[in-house]
Amino acid sequence: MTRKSLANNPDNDQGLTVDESQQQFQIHLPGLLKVLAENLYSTKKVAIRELLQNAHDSCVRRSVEGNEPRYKPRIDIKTDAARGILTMSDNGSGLSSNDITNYLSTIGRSYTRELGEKLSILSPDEASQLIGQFGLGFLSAFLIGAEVTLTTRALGDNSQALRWRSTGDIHYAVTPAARDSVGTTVELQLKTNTVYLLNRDVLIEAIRQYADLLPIPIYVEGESLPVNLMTPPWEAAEPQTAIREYLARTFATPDPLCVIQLHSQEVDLGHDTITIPLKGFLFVPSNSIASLREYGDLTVFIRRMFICSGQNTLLPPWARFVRGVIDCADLQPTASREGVHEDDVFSAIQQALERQLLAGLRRIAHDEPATWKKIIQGHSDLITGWAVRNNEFFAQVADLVTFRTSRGLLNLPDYLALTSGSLYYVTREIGSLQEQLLGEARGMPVIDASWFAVTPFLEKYARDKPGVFLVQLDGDPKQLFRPVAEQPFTALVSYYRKQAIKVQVVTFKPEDVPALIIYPKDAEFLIDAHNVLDSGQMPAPLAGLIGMYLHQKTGLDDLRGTFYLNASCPFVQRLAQPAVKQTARESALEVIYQLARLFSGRLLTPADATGAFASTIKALETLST
Amino acid sequence: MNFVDLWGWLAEVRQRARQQGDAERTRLVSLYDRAWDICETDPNAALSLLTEGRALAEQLREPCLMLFFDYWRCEIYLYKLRDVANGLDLSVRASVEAQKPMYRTCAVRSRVYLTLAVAYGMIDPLGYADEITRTLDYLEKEVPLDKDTWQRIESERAALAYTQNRLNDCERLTMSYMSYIARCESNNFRLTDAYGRLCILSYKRQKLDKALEYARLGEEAARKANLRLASLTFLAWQALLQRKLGNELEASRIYQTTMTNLQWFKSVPSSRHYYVLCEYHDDRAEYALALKLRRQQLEQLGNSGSANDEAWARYYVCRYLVKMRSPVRAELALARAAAHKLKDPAPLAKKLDALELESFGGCVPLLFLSRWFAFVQNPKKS
Repeated sequence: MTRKSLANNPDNDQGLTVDESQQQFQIHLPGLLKVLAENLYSTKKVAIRELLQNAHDSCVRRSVEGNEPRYKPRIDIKTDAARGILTMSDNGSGLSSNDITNYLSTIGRSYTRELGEKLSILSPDEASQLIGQFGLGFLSAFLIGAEVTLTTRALGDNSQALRWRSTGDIHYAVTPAARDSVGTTVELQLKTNTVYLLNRDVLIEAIRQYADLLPIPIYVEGESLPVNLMTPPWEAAEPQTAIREYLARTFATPDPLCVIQLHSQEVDLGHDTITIPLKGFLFVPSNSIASLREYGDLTVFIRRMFICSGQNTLLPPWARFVRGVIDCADLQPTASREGVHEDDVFSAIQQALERQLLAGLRRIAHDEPATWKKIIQGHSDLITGWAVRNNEFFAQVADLVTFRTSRGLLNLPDYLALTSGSLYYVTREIGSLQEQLLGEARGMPVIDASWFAVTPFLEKYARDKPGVFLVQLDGDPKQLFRPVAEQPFTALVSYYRKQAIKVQVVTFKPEDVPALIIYPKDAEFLIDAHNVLDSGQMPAPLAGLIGMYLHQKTGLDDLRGTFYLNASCPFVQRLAQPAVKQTARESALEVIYQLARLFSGRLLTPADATGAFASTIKALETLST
Repeated sequence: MNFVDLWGWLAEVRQRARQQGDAERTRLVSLYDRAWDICETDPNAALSLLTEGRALAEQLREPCLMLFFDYWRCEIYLYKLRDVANGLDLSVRASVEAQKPMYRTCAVRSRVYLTLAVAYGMIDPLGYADEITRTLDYLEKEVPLDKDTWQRIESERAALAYTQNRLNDCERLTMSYMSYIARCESNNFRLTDAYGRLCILSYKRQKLDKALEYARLGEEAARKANLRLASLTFLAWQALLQRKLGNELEASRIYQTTMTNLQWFKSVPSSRHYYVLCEYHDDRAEYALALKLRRQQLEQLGNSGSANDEAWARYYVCRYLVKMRSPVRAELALARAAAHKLKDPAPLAKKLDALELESFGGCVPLLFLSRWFAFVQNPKKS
C-alpha cells in the first residue's frame, strides 16, 4: 500500500523526501506493563478485579454458548502463602488455542466485547451481563505476578487442555496440559511487594469491594459459602431490609434517615428521549457538618462490577446530604475502570438522578413529615447553604428548613405565625443575648443567623414571600425600647454623664433587667480600624483611604455604645428616689453599669473585664459598709 | 515559606492538600474554583461559595486563605456586582486585617490593598485621584509584588490617566505594560484589559479602524481568558465601530449577538459597556433606545455607592431627554444631586447647565425665566 507523498503536496515547500512504505508500530511489552502498573491503575488490587471479571465473563460465555441447562457457574480462589501463589479458577467456557492467540495474547482485543456486540441485538439481557471491553484486563495480572500460568480447557467435545505461561515480557509459551474439566485456572507467582494479597482479610476485602454484586459465587479456600453477596440489595425480595443490611455492611450506616430506590428513567435530551437503565438507591445519613462532613457521593457499579466510590459529580451539587449506590450499564468506564467518562449519557444520568431525588424528597416531605423533619434538622446547615444557590431546591425546602431561635428549632411558617409576618434575627454568635432577651420580652422569638448561610436564606425568603419583613436586631434594637422622660431619673443620668457614659432612659421588657448596653453594628471592626490608624502602623497612603472611610462612619464616641437605663425596672425606680443616699445610689449604679457591660459580652478586653470586676467589688464594699 | 507569587502560592496549597489527602483543604480551594467558574453567570452564588470558603478557612485556622477569600469577595462585589458600597466596606475590613503581623507573608496582601484603591476609583476616580496614586506608588515601592499584581497596578495607573484625560500618558502606560505581557508571558486577563483601554483611546481619537482592530484582539483575548462578559463588551465595540464605518448590516448583526448573549449573565455590566451600547444608538439618533439602556444601568446601580457611575448615567439620561425634546427638569435635579456626591461636582454641573440651556433651544432668557418660575412655585426646593 502506498500513500500520497508529502513531497507532492504543493503546500509542502521543504523539498523533503519521505519513505512511502507503511510502517508498523512496535510494542515494547515490558514498557507497556510498566505504564499500566504505574499510571493506568491507582492500586495493585485491581488485578484481582480484572481476573474476577475475566472469570465471570467466561462463565457467562459458557451459559450463553453451551447448551447446559444444569450448568452452575462458580469461581474459586486459593492461596499458598508458603510459595507466594494465588490461584483463581472458574468453570467457564475456557480458552481454545485460537482464543489464546487471538484474544488472550492480543492486547486491546476483547472476546467479551465482540461477544457482547454479537448478543446485543438478539440477546440484550445476556449481553448486558458481560463486563469486559478493552482487552487490557489480563495484563494487570503482571502488576502483581512475576509469572502467570494459565491452564485451560475449552468447551467442546474434542478440546485439548492447554497451558499458557509468561513472565510479562514479549514471549509466552503454550504447551499441552492435563485438565479434565472445562474452565480456566490462573496461577500467579506473586511479586515480593504484592504477597500481602495472600492475607485472607485483604483478599476478601478486595473481592467484596469489586465483586460483591457479581451473580456468580466466589469461594475462598474451598469454603462452603461464597464470600460475595451476589444479589444486589435493590433486587432482593425485600429491598428496604436488604438495603439497610447492605448499608450496615458496606457503609457502617445501619440507620439512614431515608432510602430512595432508583428506577429506570426517561430523560428528554431535546432532540431525543432515552431511557436510562438506572438501578440502586440513594440514602440520607443521619447528619452532616457543613464544610467538614459533607456527602453528595455515589458508589458506582457498571453491570454489577464495582467501578468507584466517592463519585461526587453525578448527584446535583446541592445534594451534599445524600449518598448512594448506583448500577448503570449506560455509564462508560475509563480504561482503568476506576472512573466514568463524563459524556452526554453521564449528563442524562445526572438529570435522572436529580429528578428522582427531588421526587423522593417531595414524597417524604408529604407522606413522612417526621422523617422529613429529621432530614432537615440533621443537615440544616448544608441544606440552608445550598438552597440559597439553587432556586428549585429553595422552593422545595424554604418552608421546611428549621432555624435555631430563642424558642428552639422552628421552621419559618411556624415562626411567622408567632410574629405576625416579621423575621427578627441576630447575626452575632456572641453578644446577641441582649437582643434575644429584648425580643423575647416583647413576645418575639429571635432567629440565630450566625451561620453564614442563614441571612441570605432569610433575605431570599423575604424577597419571595409577599408580606414577610426582615428585621436585623444586632446593633439596632431600638424598636424594642420606648423612650421616656428623663426628669424623674436626673440623679441617675447625671452620675453616668459625669463619667462620659452615653446614657438614655427608656422602658423595655423584661422589667427585671435594669439596664443594657447596645453597641452599633460593626463597632468591633470600626474600633479595631481606629486603633490600627492610631497606632501609626498603617502606611500613610492606606491610612488615608481608611481614614476617609471611617470619617463617613459612626464617630468614635458612638462606638463606645449607649447605656439604656430601664425606667420600668422597680430597682431603678427605687434608686431614683431622693431618699436614697448618694453613696449607696452611686455604688448601685456602678454595679448596674458593670453588669450591663459584662452582659453585653462585646468590646471587652481582658483589662476591661478585670476593671469591671474591680469597680463592682469596690461598689459592693461601699454598699456593705 | 515566603511567597510573593499569588497564583504559585495557591497552586502549592492545592497540590499539597491533594498530596496529603487533605479533603478539607482540597475542598477549600475547590470552593474558590467553583466560584470563579460561575462568577459571571451567577455572581451571587459565587459570593455565597466564597463566603462559605471564608468560614471554612477560619475553621481550619488558615489566615492567608481567609484573606484570600475576603479579597475575592471584594472582587465579586466590585467587578461582577458593581456593588461598590459593599466592596469598599469589605476591602477596608480586609486591609485592616491584612495589616496584622500574621499576614505579613501572605501573597494576597498586596491585592487586598490594591482593591481598596480600586474601590475608591470606582466611587469617584477624579475626586480620589491623588489618594489612589499615592497608594499605587506605595504598593509598587514598598510591598513585595507578584508580576500579575504589578501589571494590575500599571493598569490602574493607565485607567486613572484616562479618567484625568491624560490620553497620551494612558496610552504610554498601557503600551508599556502590554509589551511586558507580550515579552514575558501570555496573560490574556491583562491583555483583555489593555485592549479595552487601547480601543477607547483610539475611538476618542477618531481612529476607528485601529479601534476595531483592538476590539477584535480584545475579544480574542477575553475569550481565551474565559472572560465572557468582557468579550461581549468587545463585540459591542465592534458593532459600534462597524456602524461608524458604514457597515450597517454587520453592525446590526453583531449588536444582536451581543444583546442576545448578554441575557445569560447575572453579573452587572460595566459603565464602559453601557457607554459603548449607547454610543451605538446615539450614532443613529436612536435616543429612546439609548435612554432605555441608561435607565436600565441606573436600576442596576441602585444604591451601589458608585457616585461616579450614577452621576454620569444620570447626565446621559438628561442628554437623551434633551435630544428627544422631552421634559428634563426633574431628571436634571436628580443629576445635579448625583453630581454633588462627587468630591468636585463642578465639571459635571457645568455640563448639566449646558444641557439645561440646550433644552431651551440655547435661549438664555427662557432658561432664567424657567428658573424664576420654579423659584416662585417652590422657593425652598429651588
